[in-house]
Amino acid sequence: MGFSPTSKRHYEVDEPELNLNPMMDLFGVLIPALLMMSAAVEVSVINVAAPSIGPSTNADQKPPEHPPLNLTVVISETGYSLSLMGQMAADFPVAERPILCSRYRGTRPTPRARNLDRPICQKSEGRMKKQFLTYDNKGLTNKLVEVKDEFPDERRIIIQPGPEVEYETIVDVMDAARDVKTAKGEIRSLFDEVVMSPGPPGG
Amino acid sequence: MADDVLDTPTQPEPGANNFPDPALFAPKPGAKKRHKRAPHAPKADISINSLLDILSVILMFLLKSYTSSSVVLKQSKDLVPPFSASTIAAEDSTAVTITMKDILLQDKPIVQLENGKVTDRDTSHAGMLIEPLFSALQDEVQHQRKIEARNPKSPFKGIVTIIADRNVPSPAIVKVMYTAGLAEYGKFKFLLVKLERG
Repeated sequence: MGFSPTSKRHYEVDEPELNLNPMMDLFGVLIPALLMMSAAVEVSVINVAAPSIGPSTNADQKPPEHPPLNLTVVISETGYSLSLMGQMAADFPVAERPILCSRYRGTRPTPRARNLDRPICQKSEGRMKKQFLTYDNKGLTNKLVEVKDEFPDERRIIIQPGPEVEYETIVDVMDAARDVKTAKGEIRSLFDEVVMSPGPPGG
Repeated sequence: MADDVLDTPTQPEPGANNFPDPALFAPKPGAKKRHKRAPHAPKADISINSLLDILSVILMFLLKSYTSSSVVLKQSKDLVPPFSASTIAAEDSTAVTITMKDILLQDKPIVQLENGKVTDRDTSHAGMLIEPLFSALQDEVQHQRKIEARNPKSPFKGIVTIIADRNVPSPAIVKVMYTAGLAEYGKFKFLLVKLERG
């Protein structure tokens, strides 16, 4: 019993190839679009609280053992004022300091209104230091380290910016108050619970 | 007489072959030989499968990184947030953007500002409440409450992320916080450009 001649015949069937060109075109559009939409800069956040308005809702809350510290930084165009328990603790006036231009490309450091007569930091001057009237952030941090040594459990700081103060200055104060890098290179937390409240009118 | 006939040029006789002389088509001496075309040379297809694999991986990576960042900072001349050494990551929240020109809620312009200042016609409560923003935030809260009712896995957290330009004066920030606070938003986050600690 033999095979019929036709059953032995082999046919080479070409496998149909997928046309991937439309898919390539789609990818060619999607990838640049996603690249454009994705954030080119890395972002972070600072948690901020607003002052509570009205009486406390928790009636069973025990009164605090110690009077509240009320650590407050008032920001004005002339500088920072630090107060503790309603008493003035220190002043950090705006003064002329050398500033690295990398953070201020195309503009001036804060308070900008007081630096208008000085040339702006050009985009090409990133590593250059220029003299500007600026806030004493280091001085504020050093003072807050002393306060933290005295009140290690305290974490809250109230920031009161005046009406002429720019947002960048507020963030600088938050950064100066949040933590500090010790001599050993460790990060020491200072006052990381920020409450923002309206400052005194007119600065 | 016979010689005369031989000397005259031969005229093609009517009905004879009228084709040109085949000698005209003979290769001239010194001419290059024309190459014959290869019979049905196979077309060289570039295999794009591996390229497609690479592009798929890049696409997946981009989609993942895009969806993981809930609050997106859009690059613009009007919006340059300040730098900060904070390391806290942004989380899913309602985004209020403040530039020197306007206030936007989830990228929709709500209030026009005059050089970073909220005009009196848009405010109430002694100038602290920004009315158009308040109603827009209330709508947003209602929208998120509806989502929460249908999908308990995405509850309304009451977080608002403020993305502000570095030049914006502080009263605009305080007023936005006050307005958001009255519209049931109790937690605030300032979005900033991450600065590596020196």
